[in-house]
Amino acid sequence: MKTVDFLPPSHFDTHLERRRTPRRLAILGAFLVICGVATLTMKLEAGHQLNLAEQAEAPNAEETLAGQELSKLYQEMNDYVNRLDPLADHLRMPALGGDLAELAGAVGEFVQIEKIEWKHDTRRKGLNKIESAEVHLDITALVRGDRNLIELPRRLQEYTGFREAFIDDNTELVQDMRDTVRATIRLRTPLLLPGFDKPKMHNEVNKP
Amino acid sequence: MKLITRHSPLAIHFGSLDTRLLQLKQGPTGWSVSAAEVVPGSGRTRHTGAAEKLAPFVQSRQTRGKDCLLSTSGEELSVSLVPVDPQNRTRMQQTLKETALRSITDAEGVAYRYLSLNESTEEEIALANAREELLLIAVGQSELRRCSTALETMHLRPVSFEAAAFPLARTMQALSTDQEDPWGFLHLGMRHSLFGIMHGGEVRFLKTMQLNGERLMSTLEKALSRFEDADPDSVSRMLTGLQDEEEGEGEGHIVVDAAAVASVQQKAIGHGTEVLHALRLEAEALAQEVRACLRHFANRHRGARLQDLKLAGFGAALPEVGTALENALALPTSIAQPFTELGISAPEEVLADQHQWCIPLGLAMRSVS
Repeated sequence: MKTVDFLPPSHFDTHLERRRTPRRLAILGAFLVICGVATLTMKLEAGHQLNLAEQAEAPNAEETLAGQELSKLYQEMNDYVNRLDPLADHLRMPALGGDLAELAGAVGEFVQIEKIEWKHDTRRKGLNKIESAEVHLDITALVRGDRNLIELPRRLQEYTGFREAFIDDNTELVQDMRDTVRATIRLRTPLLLPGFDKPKMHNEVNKP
Repeated sequence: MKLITRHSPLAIHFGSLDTRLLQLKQGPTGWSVSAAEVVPGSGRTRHTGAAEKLAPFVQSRQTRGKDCLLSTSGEELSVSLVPVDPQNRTRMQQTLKETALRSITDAEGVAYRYLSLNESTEEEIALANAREELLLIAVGQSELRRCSTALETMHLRPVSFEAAAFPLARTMQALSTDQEDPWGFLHLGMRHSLFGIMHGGEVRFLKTMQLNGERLMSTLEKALSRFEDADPDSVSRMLTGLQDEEEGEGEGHIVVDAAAVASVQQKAIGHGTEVLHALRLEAEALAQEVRACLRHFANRHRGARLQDLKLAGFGAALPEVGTALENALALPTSIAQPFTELGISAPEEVLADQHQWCIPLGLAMRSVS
């Protein structure tokens, strides 16, 4: 509503501005309260984290007891270590099951496998010291054709990944089968035994 | 959520019979009166007397804040309607100044303000080449100085000095927010009366009327003196006070108070018809004035008619005045009950004469409504 005011309009405008001051104070107060709440929350969270850290560092009765029980268990296990170690060593040895499954295919055509021998061969020096160790895989097969025979060790070496492969000297002809011989292919690869830094093969004299 | 101060500024109205201080407070249940004080006093020294009596009240922290909205009695103001023809628009300021200087005699000078009563904007009026009607209100600089000095005595800060008609109109408007048609208000003060017409939430017409509370009381005194059992001591006492002041012998000693008015009202009980008959001539004279105003307003506003009339001021609650005016004007007339109608909690003494608190209430509502 329009009015007639004999004082300058600035007087009333200033008055209205003064009336808004409590509103500004209230807004500022609300902002301070929000800041205070945020600070308090952060303080509580920091205290919570500190408490967790202190609890983590503090001696834990359950943990100590569990440690003692574990030590006791290890102590009891030591009594069986002599029996358990060879088993563990054996379980750590390489296995050839995977290779044998596909071996018939790997030898190629005109090769009939008759016998497969597989063993770990360890050479000792003295009572305890192991000088060298190898894995031996001997495959006796009927092989047709000279060229096929000559290439068979290479194919088997590529397939198995063994370091050495050669044909045994005891090759024999097969009755009623022309151009076919019975040969034994010997595959050798070093064996890394527990406690060794690197594998070492035998110093063989009779290898080809 | 309203994040502003809950107290209204102080409202002080230097009336012709008394000075009224009012402050409102907003609470959870709405507005209520937090401070209300009436200090009797009239004449040109009433400001000082009121300040001396109100200062302890203000300084005892029964009020809040220093900002104060002021108004003074209508008798200190001059209200004029100044028509401005298109050809005279260039010298409008000169016309207004001359009119203001003619209307008030004050050795310290005259302050005046004006506002347009037209519903159209100034540009629309200029384009239509129509006559503009301005409401000119003037007041003596000495009255402004006395009011300001009184506030300084109370260590208050004046932020507004409104002509009394506007806070009154503000209160009346708050009571009539849903009225679309024009409606009127009549303030029957002790020494002056104002008739205003409101439309669209703005004052569209304002005029000082001849009939005032003093004449009404005089008429009542004559009517009551005819009855044997009526002892018009209070009326005589009041009139004596008025005469003393008119003669300049007893400034500030007007004795018209609530007790005197209550006494008159008491004596009028049982003599309603006679009182009504006695007021008939006064009411008819006022009705002629009002009808002239309405004709003028209707000419300016395409035949607009008044919906109702609200009464306020000292004379409004005098016995049978409302009925007499309603009969004469043939308009629905009611005495303003602003605190009751607006739901403002107030002390008993304020509720008893709400019609006399319309101006302080309108002042207090200016910055909170």
